[in-house]
Amino acid sequence: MPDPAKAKLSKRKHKPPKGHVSEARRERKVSPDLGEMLVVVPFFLFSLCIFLGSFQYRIEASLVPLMSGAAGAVLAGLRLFYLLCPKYGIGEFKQGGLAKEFDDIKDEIAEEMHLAHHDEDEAGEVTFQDEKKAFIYLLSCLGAFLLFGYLVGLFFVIVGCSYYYAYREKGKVIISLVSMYLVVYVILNKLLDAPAFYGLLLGPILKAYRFI
Amino acid sequence: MKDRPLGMRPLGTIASMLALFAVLCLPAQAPAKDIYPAGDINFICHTKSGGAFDIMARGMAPYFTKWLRAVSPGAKGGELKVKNMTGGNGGKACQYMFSDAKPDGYTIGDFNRGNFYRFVLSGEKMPFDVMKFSWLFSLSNVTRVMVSNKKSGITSWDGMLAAAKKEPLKWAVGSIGASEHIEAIYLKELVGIPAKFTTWGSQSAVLGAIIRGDAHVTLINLNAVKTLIDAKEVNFLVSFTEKRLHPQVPTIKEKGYGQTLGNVGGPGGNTTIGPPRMDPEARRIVVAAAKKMVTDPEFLAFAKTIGSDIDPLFDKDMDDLIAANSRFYEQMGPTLKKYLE
Amino acid sequence: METSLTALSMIVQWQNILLMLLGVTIGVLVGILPGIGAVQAMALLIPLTWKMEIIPAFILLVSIYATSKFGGSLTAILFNIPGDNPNAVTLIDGFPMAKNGKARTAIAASATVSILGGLFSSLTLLFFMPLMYQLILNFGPAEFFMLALFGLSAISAVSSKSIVKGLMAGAVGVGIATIGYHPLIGTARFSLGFLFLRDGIHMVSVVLGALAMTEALRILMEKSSIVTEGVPLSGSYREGIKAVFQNMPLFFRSCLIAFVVGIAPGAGSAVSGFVSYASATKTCKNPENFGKGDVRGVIAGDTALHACAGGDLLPTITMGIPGSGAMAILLGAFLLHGVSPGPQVVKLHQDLVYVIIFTLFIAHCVSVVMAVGASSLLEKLTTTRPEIISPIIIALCLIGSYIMREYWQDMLITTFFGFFGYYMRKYGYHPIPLVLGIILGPIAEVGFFQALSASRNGALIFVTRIPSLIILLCTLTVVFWPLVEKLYKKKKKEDK
Repeated sequence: MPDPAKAKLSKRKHKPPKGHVSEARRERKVSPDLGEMLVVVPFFLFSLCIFLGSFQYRIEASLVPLMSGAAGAVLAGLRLFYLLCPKYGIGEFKQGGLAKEFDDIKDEIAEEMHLAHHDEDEAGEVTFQDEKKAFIYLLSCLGAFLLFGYLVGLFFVIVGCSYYYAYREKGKVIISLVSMYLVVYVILNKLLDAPAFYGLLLGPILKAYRFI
Repeated sequence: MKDRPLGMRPLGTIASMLALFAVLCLPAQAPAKDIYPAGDINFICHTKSGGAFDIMARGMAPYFTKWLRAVSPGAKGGELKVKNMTGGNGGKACQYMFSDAKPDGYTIGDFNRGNFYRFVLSGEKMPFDVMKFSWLFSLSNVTRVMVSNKKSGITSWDGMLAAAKKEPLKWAVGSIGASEHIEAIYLKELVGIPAKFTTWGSQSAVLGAIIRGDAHVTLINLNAVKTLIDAKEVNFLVSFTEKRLHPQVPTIKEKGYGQTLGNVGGPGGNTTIGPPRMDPEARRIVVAAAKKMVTDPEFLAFAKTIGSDIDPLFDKDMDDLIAANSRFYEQMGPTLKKYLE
Repeated sequence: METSLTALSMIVQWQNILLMLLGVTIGVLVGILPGIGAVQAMALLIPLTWKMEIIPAFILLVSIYATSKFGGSLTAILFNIPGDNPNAVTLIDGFPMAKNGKARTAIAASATVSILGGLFSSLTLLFFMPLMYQLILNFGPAEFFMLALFGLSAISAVSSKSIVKGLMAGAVGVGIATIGYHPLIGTARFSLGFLFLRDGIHMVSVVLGALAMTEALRILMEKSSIVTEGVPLSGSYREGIKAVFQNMPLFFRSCLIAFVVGIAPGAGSAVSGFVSYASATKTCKNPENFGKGDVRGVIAGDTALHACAGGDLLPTITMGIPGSGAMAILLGAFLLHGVSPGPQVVKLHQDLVYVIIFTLFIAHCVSVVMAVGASSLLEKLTTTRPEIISPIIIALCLIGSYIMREYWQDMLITTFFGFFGYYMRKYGYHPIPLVLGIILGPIAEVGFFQALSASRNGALIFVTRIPSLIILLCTLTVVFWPLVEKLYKKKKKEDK
C-alpha cells in the first residue's frame, strides 16, 4: 500500500496504481461537465434541422440528410439527455466507446481513466480568462479581415497580437510581418494571381474613389 | 512611464504604416481619360482553371491584346487577365457581371449560354435579365455528337431508336442543367426517344460510364470523345453538323431533324459578354479586335490545337442568335421543369 | 530501352533541369499555401508552356503536380494546416508528432514515402498503360460507394476515447456535406437562399478552422509553442526513414489502394489518403496509437497521396479522361501541343511518356532534398512563441479560406469552426471524423445513386460486382473483427 504522507510530499504527478479509481473521478462520473453542451447542443440542433428539412426534397436528395440527421440527432439527443439528467445513465457513452461495452478488463478501464485524468489536468491549466482573451483576439482578426481585407487586415492581426498579449520583441514582430507580407502580397497575390479582397468596408471606399 | 509594447508611439506609427500598406497594395489602374484600353482587362471565366473555357481564354489572351492595341492606336494596356469565378453553377459569375462589374470596358466575360438557364431548371427566378447584357461576340462552335457503349449493340442512329423501343435507354449526362443536358432533353422530346437520364457529375464520369456500359448513349462534345472514337472504344452514332464528320456516320440533318442544329450544338455555346450598358467606345474596340483576331493565322492555329472550331458571330448575327436562344429556352421552360420534378 | 535512355538524356539537359527546379519550387510553394493548389499554378503557366517545346513544357507541369502534395504535408505536420484537401490526412498523426518534438521524424517519413511513392507511380504508369481499359471497366460507382464506406470506418480509429462521439461528429460531417447543390439532381439543399451556401460548405474551410485555427487558439491560451513545453526536439531523419522501411507491408498496401482509387476519375487523392489511413488503422498492430502521433499514420496517408499520381495520369494519357482538376489542365496541355491522348500515345509519343514517368520520380526526389534541407529551419518554427506563430496561422487560415472560392463568408465558417473545434477537442470530440464525413459523405451518396441508376438488379449491384463485393467484405471484416476478437477473448476468459 502506498504511504499517503509520502505521496503528498512528492512533487511529481500522482500516478494511481492499476485499477484504482479516485474518489474525485467517481464523482466526476456522475456529474458531467455541462460545458459539453456547447458542442452537443449545436450538433443536436443542426442534425434535427437537417433531418426535418430533408423531407422537402425528393428521395435521391433526401435520403442522405435524413439518415445523417437522424443518426446525429439521436446520438446528440442521448448525450444531451445524459448531460441534463445524468443519474439515468442514458447517453453516458462510456469511455472507450461501443467496443468497451463488451470488455470488462479492469486494468484497461483504469488505464483509460489515468489518461483521462492526465488530459483533464492539462485542460485545467487554461482558465476561462485565457479562453475569453483568445476568442476576443480571434474575433478581432476576423473583423479586421472582413472589414479591411486580408492585405490590410494582416497588419492588424500580427501587430495586434503583440499589443494584446504585451509581447515586446519588436524585431521578431517586424520580421514576421515582412515575411507574411512577402508571402501574401508578392507570392500569393502577384505571382500566383490569387484574388484580392479589400474588405466589406474598405473595398467599397476604394472602388468609389477608383483606386481599384 | 508605462512601457508600451513594441516601444512605439502607437497611433501615428499605425497610421503611417497603414498608409504605406494601402499604397503598396493597390493594383495599377487606368487613369480615367487615357486611350482605351489603358489598363488590364479582367476576363471573367465561369469555369475553374483547366476547363475548356479557361484554356481558350488564357490561350487567346495574347492575340486579343495584340489586336486591341492594333485597333486602338496609342493604347498601352489591354492585357487580358483571366479570373476564374466559379460558384453557383456559373451563377456567381453571371451575378458579378450583371450587378458588380463596371461597364467601362475593363471587365468582360466568357460564358456558356446554358449556364444562364440553369435557374430555369432549378425553379428559381433568374436574378438578372439575360437580354440586358452587352453581347459582344461568339467565337467558336460546339460540335456535338452521339456515341454509345461499344458492347451495347447500338451501332447507329436507327439502331438506337430500335433499341429504345424495346427498353428505355440509359442516357448519360454530365452536370445537371448544363447545355448538353438541356439539348439532350430537347432531342429526346423532339424525336420521342424512350430514355432515362442518368447524371454523372462531369464529362469524364460520363465517358467512364459509357465505357463501362453503365449507360447506353450520351450526347457530348466531339472534343471530349474524339480520342475514344478514333480508338473505336465507343460507337459513333450521329453528328450534329451540316456535313459528315465520318464517311460512315450520318448527320442529324440527314436523319430528318435539321431543326436541332443551332439548338443542339452549333454556334454560340461559347459567348463573350460585357456588363449591361457597356461603354460604347470600349465595346466597339473590343468587337473590332475580336474581328481581327479571328482572321489571325496564329490564333487560328492555336484554336485548332485545342480542337476549337472557330465560327464567329458579331453584331446583328450575335443579337439574333441570343434572341433565338432566349426564345428556345423560354419555350423549353415547362418541359425542363418536368424533368426536375 | 533506347527510348527510355533518350528520355533521360532529354531531362538532364541544363535547361530542363532548371525548369524542373522551378517546377518543384512552385509545386512545394503552392502546396504549402492553403487555398492555392497545383491546379492554379499549372493553369497560370499553360499559356507560357504553349510557347515552349513539348518536353520542357511537360517537365515543368508534371514537376509542379508531383511536388505540391509534399509541400502540403510539411505545413500539415508542422502547423496543422493542410496545404490542400488531400493533406488533411497527414495532420492526423503528423501534427501530434510535431507536438511531441518529432517533427523531423515525421518530415523524414513523409519525404521517404514521397520518393518511394513517386517511384511506384512511375512504375505503374509504365506497366499498366496497356491494361487501362480493363481497369476502368472494373471500377465504377458501386466500388466508389464501397470505398467511401471503408474510409468512413476510419472514424472509429480516430475517435480518440469515444467511438460514439466520433460517430456523432461523422454524422454531422455528412450532414454538413449535404448543404449545397446535389451533384446528380441539381437541387440546392439547405441553401436558405444564399448563393454561397448553394455551393456548399467547403471542406477546406472546416479543416482550417477545426484543426489549424484551433491549434493556434490553444497555444495562445496555454502560452506555449506548438511543441509541448518541456518536450525536447528529439526527432531525427534516420528514425523517419527507418520507420518507413520497417513498415513496408503498410507502404505497399497504401500504394495499391492509391493506385486503384487514383484510376477512377473523380476520386481524388484525398479519398485515397483517407481510405489508406482507414486500412492502416484496421490492419496494423496497436491501432489505439493512431491519431496520437504514430508515424505509421503519416506513412499510410502520405504514401497514398504520392502513389496515386500514376493512377491519376493513366486515364488522362491513355483515354483522354482526366480524373482531377490537375489532370484536366494536363489534358489541355496535351491538346495545346498537338498530342491527342489515347491508346496510340504510347506508340506515337513514347519519348514524352517516358519523360513524364521519369519526371514524376525525379521531381519527388528533388523536392524532398529541398524540403529536408529547409526542415531544420522549419522545425524551429514549432518552438516559436505563440505571439508570433499564432497570428501567422490564423492569417493563413483566413486567407486560405477566402481565396479558394472568393466568398468572404468562408472566413466566417472557418472562424466558427475555430471556436467550435476548440470546444470539440476540449470535450473529447475529435474533429477528424467531422472532416471524414464531409469528404467521404458526398462520394458515398453519389456512388450509391449512380450505382443504382446503372444497375439492372437494383441494390444487388453492390454484391454482384466482384470488386465491390471484395471491398464490402474487407470493410465488414475490419469493422467487426475487433468485436468478434474481444467477444472470443471474453468467452475464453470466462471458460478459464
